[in-house]
Amino acid sequence: MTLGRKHGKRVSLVLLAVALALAAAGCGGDDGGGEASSEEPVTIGSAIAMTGGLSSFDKPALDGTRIAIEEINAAGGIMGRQVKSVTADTKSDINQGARAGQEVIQKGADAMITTLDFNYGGGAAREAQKKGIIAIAPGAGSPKYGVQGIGDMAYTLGIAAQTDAAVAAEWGIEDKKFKTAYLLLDDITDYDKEQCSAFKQVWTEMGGTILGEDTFKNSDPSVAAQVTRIKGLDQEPDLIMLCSFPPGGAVAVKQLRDAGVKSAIISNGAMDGDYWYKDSVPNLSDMFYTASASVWGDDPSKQINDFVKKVKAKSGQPQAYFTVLGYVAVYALKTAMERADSTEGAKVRDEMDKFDKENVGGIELTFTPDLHIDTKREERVMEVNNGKHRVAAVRAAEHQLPLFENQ
Amino acid sequence: MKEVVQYIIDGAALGSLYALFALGIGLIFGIMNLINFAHGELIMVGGYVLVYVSSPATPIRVLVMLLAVVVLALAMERAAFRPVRHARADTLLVTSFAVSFFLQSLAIVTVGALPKSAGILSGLNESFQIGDYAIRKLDVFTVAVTAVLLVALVAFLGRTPLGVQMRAAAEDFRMARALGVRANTVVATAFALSGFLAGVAALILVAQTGLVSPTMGLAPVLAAFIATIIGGLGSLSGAVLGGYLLGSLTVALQAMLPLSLRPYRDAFVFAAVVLVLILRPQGLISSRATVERV
Amino acid sequence: MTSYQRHLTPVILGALVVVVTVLGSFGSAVLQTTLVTMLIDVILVVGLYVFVGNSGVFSFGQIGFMAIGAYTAANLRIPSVTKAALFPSMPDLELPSTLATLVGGGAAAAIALVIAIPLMRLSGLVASLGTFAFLNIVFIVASNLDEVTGGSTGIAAVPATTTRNTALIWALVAIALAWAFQQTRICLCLRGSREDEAAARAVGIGITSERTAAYVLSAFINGIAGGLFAQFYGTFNPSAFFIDVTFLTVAMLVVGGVLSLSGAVVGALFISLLTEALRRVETGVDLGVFSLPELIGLQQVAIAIAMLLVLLLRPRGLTGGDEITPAWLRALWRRPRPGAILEAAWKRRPARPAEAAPATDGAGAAILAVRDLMVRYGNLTAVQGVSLDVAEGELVGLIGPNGAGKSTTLAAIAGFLAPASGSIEFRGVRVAGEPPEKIVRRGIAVVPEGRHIFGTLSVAENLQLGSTPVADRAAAAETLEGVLELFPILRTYYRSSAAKLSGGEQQQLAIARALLSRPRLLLLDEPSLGLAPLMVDVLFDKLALLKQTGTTILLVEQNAVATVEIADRTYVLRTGRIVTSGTREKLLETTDFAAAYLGVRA
Repeated sequence: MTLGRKHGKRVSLVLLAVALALAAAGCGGDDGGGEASSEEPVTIGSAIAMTGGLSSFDKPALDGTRIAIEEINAAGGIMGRQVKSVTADTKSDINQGARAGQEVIQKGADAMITTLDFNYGGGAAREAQKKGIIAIAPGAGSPKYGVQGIGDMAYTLGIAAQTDAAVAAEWGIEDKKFKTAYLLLDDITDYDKEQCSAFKQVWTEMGGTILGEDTFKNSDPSVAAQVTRIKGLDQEPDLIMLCSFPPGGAVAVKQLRDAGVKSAIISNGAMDGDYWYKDSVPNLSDMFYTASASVWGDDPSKQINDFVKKVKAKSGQPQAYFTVLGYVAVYALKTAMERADSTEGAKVRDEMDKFDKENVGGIELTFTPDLHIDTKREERVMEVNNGKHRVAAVRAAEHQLPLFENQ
Repeated sequence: MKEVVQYIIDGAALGSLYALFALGIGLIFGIMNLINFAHGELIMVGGYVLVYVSSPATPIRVLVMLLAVVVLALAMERAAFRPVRHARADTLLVTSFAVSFFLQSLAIVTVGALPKSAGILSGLNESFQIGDYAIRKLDVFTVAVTAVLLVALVAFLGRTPLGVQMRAAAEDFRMARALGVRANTVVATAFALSGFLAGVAALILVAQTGLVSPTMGLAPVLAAFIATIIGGLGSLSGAVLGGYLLGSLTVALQAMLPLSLRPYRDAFVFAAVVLVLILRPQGLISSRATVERV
Repeated sequence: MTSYQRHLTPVILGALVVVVTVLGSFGSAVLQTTLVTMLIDVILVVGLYVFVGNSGVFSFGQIGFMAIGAYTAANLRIPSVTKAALFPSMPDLELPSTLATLVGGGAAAAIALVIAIPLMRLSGLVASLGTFAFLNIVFIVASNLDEVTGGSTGIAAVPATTTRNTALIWALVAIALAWAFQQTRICLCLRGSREDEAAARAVGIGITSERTAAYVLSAFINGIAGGLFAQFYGTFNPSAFFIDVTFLTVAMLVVGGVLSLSGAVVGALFISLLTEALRRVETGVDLGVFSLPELIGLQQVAIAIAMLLVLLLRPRGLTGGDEITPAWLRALWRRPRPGAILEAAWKRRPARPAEAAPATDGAGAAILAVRDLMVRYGNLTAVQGVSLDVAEGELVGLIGPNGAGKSTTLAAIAGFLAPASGSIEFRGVRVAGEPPEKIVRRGIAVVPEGRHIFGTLSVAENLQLGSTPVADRAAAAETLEGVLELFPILRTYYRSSAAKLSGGEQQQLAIARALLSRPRLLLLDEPSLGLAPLMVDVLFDKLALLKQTGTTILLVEQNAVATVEIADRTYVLRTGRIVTSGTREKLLETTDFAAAYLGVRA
């Protein structure tokens, strides 16, 4: 079915020309910007993954962002100016982050929201840093997303692995009176590695015993060997610290329960949601994880519960709490901008650095000029019982472990 | 140690799963000299069909899924691989990448990138208790199914006229055609069979992991790729052997490596693979077809 | 084409890259980022080509070298202060940008030299798996060796010094390096081995060292790309150097044309531009005349479809595996092909019947009538104006020197090639262009050159396959008996693997197998090729016996004398045309064989 050389060459030339033409079609775009007048909208640019693997986290955050913007506009806007949302797609490609950041800047962004990950959101955040505007990652768990790793314009609303781990360990020992724990680490991300390492440290400091540890890979279809190792212990651990995220974490939970391991399992916020166990382990129980908010209707903050109701009305039960963080990000900007009475990056930054348990959209935020990640937040320890979610405890980390190697 | 026996069972179970993946890849490779990377997407589509077909009767869900995957495999052959059937090996390879990428992207756009939980054959998640050892029913099922499929395939290829034609076509396509063997029938049959194998693999994978996701086919197809080559290209029993070797080695390393080295487990597996390739480049079971006679 | 024109290729390719870059430089800031990505991709694909294109071995591990280059360059560029904070165990060494890039390339090349020792002796898919293993090992080590590589989070704070111009210069350097390598003797030997490794080994080309050279250069170029990458994005982690990029660069190379440097460059440019174009279309494009709506997610799906389309329409890639030369470019829009004028001249001559004895001479009716057959391979006309007849019961010979077109003629009759023009009538039915399976069922069986015995099957199975088109089991059984009577050696080896037979025996098996389809016409393509003289005699005895059974045979042979002795009539073919024909007496007495064969006066 080949067209043969005669036509084939022409086809290729035509294709090349078409490609060039289309590429040029978007060329020479204006560089946006210009002075913001007091009547111009405040533009919040979301340089996030609208397609690809990360869109499952970024798009809910965008939903939250948009609801926040609606609410704020209905109440008069920021400093009397309407708020506008613009977006650019990173396609879940780590190398497209900078480009997406440039795009929203071109579209006139006064502040940026990025993918909730240091690596995948860092590219866009660096562009924001260059331009001197704030970049917020709704949920990057790495402290590097901040002054140390990107610059003084970058903030994350996420929780550091060390903080999550401390909350989990303290809850386990103090609330549940557990004695023994086991670490199961999905070693694909530094976050998970740091979480398990910090958990071990806090647990043993508090007098608990670590019965053992093991690793697996997120893409493993079977963790049978890891399960066998756990079953081979002299006693079943009270608590298994599962440092992972779906799909790997979901497979691990299922196979642990299938094998009859009854230990309580605790993980981090990436395991929020019921999509990963609904049909496979419908009666899942004794499953816990730490999260910044509960989207299941029982969060201690009324504002968040109301927000969840709004999301439910719009697009159904939110799958995880990241949508709340997208909402909170906008309110954080609003608070800081109004206090600074300006959208100028440096001034907004100075105000954000003064946040001390500042209630923003239902969550308390704390930042300092040196630390743009919140280590003092009250986390919700969520429980899945018989397939249903509820808030089991609300705790802030008491153990404040060093976040960087040279601290 | 009691754990050792349990680990052996675990290795056999994982090996069966990999062997199942490898059979699907090896079959097509034997006929067309093509490593079909889109085989992973056949598994993925099978998984999603299982999720979306809601019927209380498991056999119906499975049958519908198998049918869907076989149809997709045939469509894949007809639309993407037949036109390039006689092309160079690299063109075939990239064609299979392109098909794989296309199906994955389509899946992400239509069903979303988030994994979905799935429940099937949940009764098999329990274990037989034999003394101190717990043998998961699903593992027994996997080993049994793989064995039956292998025997059936070997019988089909060895005893039936169509099977002999397929083996002949695998060795010398042109000559087979010269004797009247219908090329299209042979290739379509091979794809249909590989689709069936992919469907069975999907069933077991979903039963085991409880999840489907658009990228769930990548790990299986890479495992199959490795298993088929170390087992010996062109040999079906080699593919199965390669799968068992890979699965057992993975479990063995997981069990035996000290904790600090365990994150490097796969690096050790790959190093072992390279060793096998150097010591026996023709694979563990060499088929005569792979030895080039001068 | 003069030899200097050949060397214009790198110039043309460089010009192409420069033009695209310059055009793009007028675009938005966002486009500049894309341009640098594109240039880095060009370097990557050129690097990939240096090994894959020249050696024919598919490496899935070249991106591993990109990683090594990136991590090395990054470590040499991170400012000392930051390095002390983030990577306290790394040496306190800071180098200027270009030097860091070069060292990155050098580190990659050094590692390539080491792992070439086990890998380069492997071939085919086995080698591919070996390189894939390397890619994985690099990924796993990079993800876990936190003190050196920053683990899964990777490295940040690398000064972003790669500009569009830097990338452009390095791209041109890469193209020049690849081209220069292609002119070396090492590379020429390598390319020779690419198609037929056994043949190359037979003339003393030790593949391993040649491959290693290509591998090391390829690694160097990929390492350079990695260094540029690191110093452009300023931050990266191991997943930037894994499966996605590998598949993308391989696809770029194959879509462009894996066999040529031009293919590498064109493929990289094409896919990059297409991706960019689709990206714009995805967010809604106002083309003035009409607007396209937002179609999120379109890009990835469309890229896959585009790749598939290119591969289906141009399986050898956009460049077809050719290098772009001025002649290639001219051929793009100039219609006439070389030989077109001659072809037209042939068509204007009156049709000339073959100088054959009338078909009804002695034997039965003509069952095969070939008229004015023309068969072409691309631009080359292999068979031209060939006409011949075979009557029932005849043994007709077709002889001629190498390259005369004998096998081509046979292949056209057997259905493996479609003739460009002319007719082939078999028992009154036009069969030109039908596929082999159908031709067999019409009653033509072919024994192709080289025997093509199924070595993995037994003699019995080989024979069984021969009767595939025969529906009547009784007839098939009878034929089997007859065949075994004629070739008793097959009975001896009946259950054995066919691979165990000697060359001569295999030839008998091949003929027997063909006979099992009960053909009306048996085509034999050079059955004596490769046989010892004794076996050749045995073969021709068998053919004589076969003729006596009434089988109609068209025999293509290089062994002219033996053929003419045994055949009723023989045609002589030279450079695609029949130059003479006739019965045994006529040919042996009146024709000067040397003249007929070679076209020279004795």
